[in-house]
Amino acid sequence: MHPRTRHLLAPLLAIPLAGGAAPPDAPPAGDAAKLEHFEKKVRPILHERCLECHSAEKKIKGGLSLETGALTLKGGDTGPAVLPGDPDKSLLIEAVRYANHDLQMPPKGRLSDSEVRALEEWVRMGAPDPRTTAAQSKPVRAIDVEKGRSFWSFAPLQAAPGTALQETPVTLDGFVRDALQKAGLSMSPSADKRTLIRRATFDLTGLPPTPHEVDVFLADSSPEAFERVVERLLASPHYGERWGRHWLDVARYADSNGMDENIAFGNAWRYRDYVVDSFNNDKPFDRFIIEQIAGDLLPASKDTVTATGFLSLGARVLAEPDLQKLEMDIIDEQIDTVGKAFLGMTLGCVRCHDHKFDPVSQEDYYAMAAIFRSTRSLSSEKMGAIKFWHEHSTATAEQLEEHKKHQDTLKAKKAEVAAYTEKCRASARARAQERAADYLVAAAGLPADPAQTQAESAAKPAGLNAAILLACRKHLAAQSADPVFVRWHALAAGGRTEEIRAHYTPLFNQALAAKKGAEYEALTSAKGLLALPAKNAELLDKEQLAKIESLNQESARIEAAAPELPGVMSVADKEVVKTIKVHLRGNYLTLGKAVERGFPEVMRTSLTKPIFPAKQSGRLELAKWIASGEHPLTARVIVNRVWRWHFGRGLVSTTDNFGILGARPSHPELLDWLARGFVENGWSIKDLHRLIMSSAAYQQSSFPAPPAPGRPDPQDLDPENKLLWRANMRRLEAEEIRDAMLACSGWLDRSIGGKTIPRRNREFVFNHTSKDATTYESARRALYLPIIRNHLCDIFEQFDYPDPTSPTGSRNSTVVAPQALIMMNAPVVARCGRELASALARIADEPARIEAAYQILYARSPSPGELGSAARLLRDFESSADPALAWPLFCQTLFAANEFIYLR
Amino acid sequence: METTPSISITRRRLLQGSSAGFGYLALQALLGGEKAFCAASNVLAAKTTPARARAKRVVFLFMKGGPSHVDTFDPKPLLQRDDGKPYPFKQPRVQFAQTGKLLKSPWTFKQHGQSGLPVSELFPHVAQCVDDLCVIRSLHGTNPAHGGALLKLHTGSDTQVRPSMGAWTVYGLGTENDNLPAFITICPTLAHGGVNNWGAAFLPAYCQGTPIGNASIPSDQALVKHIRNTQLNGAQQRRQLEFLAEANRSHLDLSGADQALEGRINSFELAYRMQSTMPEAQDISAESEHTKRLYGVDHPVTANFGRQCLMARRFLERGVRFVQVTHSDGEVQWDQHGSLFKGHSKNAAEVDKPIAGFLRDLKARGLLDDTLVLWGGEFGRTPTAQGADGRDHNPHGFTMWMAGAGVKPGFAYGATDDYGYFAQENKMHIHDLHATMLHLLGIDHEKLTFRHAGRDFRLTDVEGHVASDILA
Repeated sequence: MHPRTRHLLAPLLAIPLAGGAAPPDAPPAGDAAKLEHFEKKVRPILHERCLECHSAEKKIKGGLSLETGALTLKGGDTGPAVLPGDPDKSLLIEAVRYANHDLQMPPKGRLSDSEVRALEEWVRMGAPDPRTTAAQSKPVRAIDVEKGRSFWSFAPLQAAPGTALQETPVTLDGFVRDALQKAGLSMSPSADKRTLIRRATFDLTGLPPTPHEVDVFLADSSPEAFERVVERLLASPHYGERWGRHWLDVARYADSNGMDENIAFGNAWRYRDYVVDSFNNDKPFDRFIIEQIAGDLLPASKDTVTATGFLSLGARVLAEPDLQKLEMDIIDEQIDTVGKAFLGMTLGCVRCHDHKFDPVSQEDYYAMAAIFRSTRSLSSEKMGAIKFWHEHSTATAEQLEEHKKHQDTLKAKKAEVAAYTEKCRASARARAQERAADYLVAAAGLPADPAQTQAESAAKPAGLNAAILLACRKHLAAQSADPVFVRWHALAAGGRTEEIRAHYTPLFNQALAAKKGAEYEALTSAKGLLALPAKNAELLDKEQLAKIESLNQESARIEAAAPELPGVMSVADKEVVKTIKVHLRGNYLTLGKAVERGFPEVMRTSLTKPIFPAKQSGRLELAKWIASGEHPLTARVIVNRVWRWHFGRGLVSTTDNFGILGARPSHPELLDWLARGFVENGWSIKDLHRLIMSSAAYQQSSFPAPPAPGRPDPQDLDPENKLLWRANMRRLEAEEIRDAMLACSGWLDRSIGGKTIPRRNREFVFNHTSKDATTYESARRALYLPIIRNHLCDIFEQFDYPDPTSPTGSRNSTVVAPQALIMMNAPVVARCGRELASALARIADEPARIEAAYQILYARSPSPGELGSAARLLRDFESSADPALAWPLFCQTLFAANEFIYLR
Repeated sequence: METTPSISITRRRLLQGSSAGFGYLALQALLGGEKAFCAASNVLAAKTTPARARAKRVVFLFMKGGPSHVDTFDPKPLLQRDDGKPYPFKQPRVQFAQTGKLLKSPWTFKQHGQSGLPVSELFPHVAQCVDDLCVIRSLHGTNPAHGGALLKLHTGSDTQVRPSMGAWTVYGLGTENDNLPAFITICPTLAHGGVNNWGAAFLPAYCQGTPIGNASIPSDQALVKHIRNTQLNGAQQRRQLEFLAEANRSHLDLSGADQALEGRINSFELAYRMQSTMPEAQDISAESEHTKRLYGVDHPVTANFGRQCLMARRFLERGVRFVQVTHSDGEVQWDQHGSLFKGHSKNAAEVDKPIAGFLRDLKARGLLDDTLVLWGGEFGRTPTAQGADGRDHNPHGFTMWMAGAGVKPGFAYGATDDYGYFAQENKMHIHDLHATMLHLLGIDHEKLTFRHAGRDFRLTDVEGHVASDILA
């Protein structure tokens, strides 16, 4: 809301206390005593404790300035600060009273009681306030949608990009060459074939080419040779594993919640496999978007419900006790993820305030929040404080039947445990009641608040239970006035224990026989004289405890063997909320105006207002709007992602931020040309690969010859290679490093898909014991290693696997020492060395063996110098005390070398 | 503001400009050798109005689970008086569990030292160091569950993954020892946020904490991952690295000179050195018997935590910027929903002597002058009873203490209400704690920022006040 419009209301509010005559900012009609109260008591408090945060001179928190009487009456985001005459209805008074834990001022510490009273008194007087001048407040920044639309990424795609290029027809390379020429640069020559096939094979499948594949390519001298390689790779099922993995970065995929309570997403793998299949099938990307946001609202198909796992995979504070906060946190995570993944927009910023940089208002945000508010993301099931995510059951009738049978068995076993335990406790209770007099005798020898050890030494010789005796003595001390025990107190004080026995034995026997009377109550009350300890260990004998323990173990075994009901992580519609109130500063306790479901105005794709169905959340409409070819961001964002994953840098380098603070495109026309073609061509990702990989820009060398004399050194002009005067060197990503080692050593299991996390759904991967329940010892591709949030496998952790709680379109590529420690010392690397060594052992001749190793790992032959260097290493170890180390160590070191880890 | 972003802008340019992305600074370190991160500290020193750094390093003694303030450092006479009566004020809107009537402390408090600060009988040894402590009794957070509270305490956020305070410290100040990580966490818990509690999130990778073991591993077996080669001896590994260097050099001929490639070559040398410097720093066998006794390493109850503290001192001496020592036995921790007496007695017995020994040792070596010691858990506990003998989580008011560089010794700051439920006087939110900690390190918490996902992030988000009253 706009402060200035509110300002107009201030005079109206002020009228009653000003008697309708005086201007609002003037002191109320001549009441000197009241003004004196203000000056002496109130002004100092405001000055010292309030104005630091509530004046234009410093800052205006919560929209509230307390600088003048009028501003105080006007109030802040949550309404007027005082209601003159009524302290109990004045927010300011409520805040300083400190009784409402959500509204306490000053926040650093409460005012003294006398200060609070002074303020109350002041409000009761009508809140007289002579102050009229306030410092000039900073102008409020308003979102200007029309101006925002002129920003490049919010503007429609250019109608005919490339018309100004000299080259015709318009090609990808034409744009690149044009930009290079303008900078006085040129493209590098094509990379050699060995470099090219290694580059292409890793790019499309995340795996190294086999020596055979290299040979076939080298032998193919036709102009279509490289195209054939690309087609072969695009048809490989490993293509979807590699490119699906890129998308999983964006989808912040994981197999566990992480965050506060790390429990297993036992069904997340179904979403992972869905993504892999979608890439392998070249599912049109617009369809892929719609399925992930609203697959549950499409005509029924297992596939499309699974796709909504996208909205469900977020890391959530599952033990958050504040359910309303949790709900809004989940919605925020979903909006933020959708914004970054599909639109390259940081919409999460707008939860608390209008976007500080981009033309997106809080109303835009809550218009989308209303859509997600009508979406079910949490299950009604929970485990203690831990809430679960929504799952869509795919169980068959037989599976449900089997599951129910099992639950019944478990229930019966648990009932057996409970019945047996109760039987034991009942008999212990009866025994204690029979010996009640003995307890009173023993209690007489104890102090009023005995130590555990005292109770134990008194109980043992008498054959009594120490815990009961302890409670008994404390009960007697606490209930000294109970008529039943008055006698005990008298006798105990004199140490007359035998008289206690003589007095109480017949009394108790009669009571137990009659089952009534004050004595009977005293003996049988669960919290009374003979209260049983809660812990069985303090009450029952060894045999009983052993039997209970074994019954409990049986029960646990049955529970652990429960058949898992298949389900998919997903969302569903729930009761439709058509409006939602803006949450001021993101807090659901301070609500502003209500907004209807809608999309951010700056990105609107049509002039008509979207229409939302009354009985659906509106997610489908949201999905279709995002997946529209008219949307200014969607196509640009995805073609830029694909570009980034090929070239190591996006045309817009900030792949997840196309906003004002994001980078500007290095080749704006090329980006629009690609985006336009992509949409017109039916959103095919595979065709985009074909287009990119067939370009000279993609195929150029990473190591151009030094510039001719007199020519500028591109290294000086464009050190970051923004203009693509060469190919970028690329360090392999974490999964590629591991998979390539396993593939080269012949150890890789290439099977595809399926459940791979070795935990049951919703089971803890980490509980408070810090014991690691996951294993990474698998020969499957790294795609299938469990992604445990908060505890990634070492190679992932060190080699820049992205934070799996946040969408990432551009991984880092760092060089740090712990990576070297892994290559030197990690068991998995050593094992790859051994496996490769034993695979090579069938080659008898040493130089041929070395040659084979270089071919498998680097797709080339070793130089004579390298052959000599290798032979020397092998000699040194073969002649040492550990000759068996020689070949495994040689192989491991080749894996550790730069050439293995970097693509040229 | 144009004058402030001394850290952020300069670094941001470096980071944006590099094809190696966030690895750039670490890479510079690897290329440059000596004083890996001094560039960062110089930038800091060049600020226009530098806050004077009182602390050069931080050690956080983290009591996982939530030690009860009303049973340790925050005596409440009215709680003793009104045992069994209802809490007379409104309870929090959101509670972790239902609690009952007021439960008095089973321990008695006594005043100690010149300052006369009260400490309960749970901490007889720490009580003797009370004149070095600055006890803050008005901490408060937001989240009443372990996970959320741990994340809030360690990262300032309980809703999203953010860099940990150790990572921010390293980002701001760098390291003083190239051969050791700048941020080490000894036997951390893997639950309740796990790695996020020492992670770097979007900060450069070198800022992340390096864990030594975890809470389920005894401290004498705790190691940095992959720090040892079980197959090769030193000479053999040296020979291996020679061969590796040859291979990498011939690769440079094929690929052309490249910063990342050269950095990676050096990274193996640094890794090789770390293999000896880390175990050496962890090895307490060279310590005198007197020192070992001081930390309680000679006694089974105190040996485990004592060894952690002693390791911490060895790391601090070697210039490690931020050390966290976690007390969490993997089972009970300080989370006494029941058996308060038994559980807190056991926990305190395990840490009391080691902490006192640690403080004395730091003082004797002059390290306490420029080391900030921080003690506490993720929250306190309710003055009201859970069951017969337990207390629930209480993030609304609890105690932490500081000692050492730049804080007032023998001083108590802030107060909870009469029963110890809510912080009330001089309230110190977790954000304020972070702001104060950074201030002591000479960093203005509003200026230590990092641009990520379209905005500048801070450890203190948009909050945080320095508690200047506790500064010496």
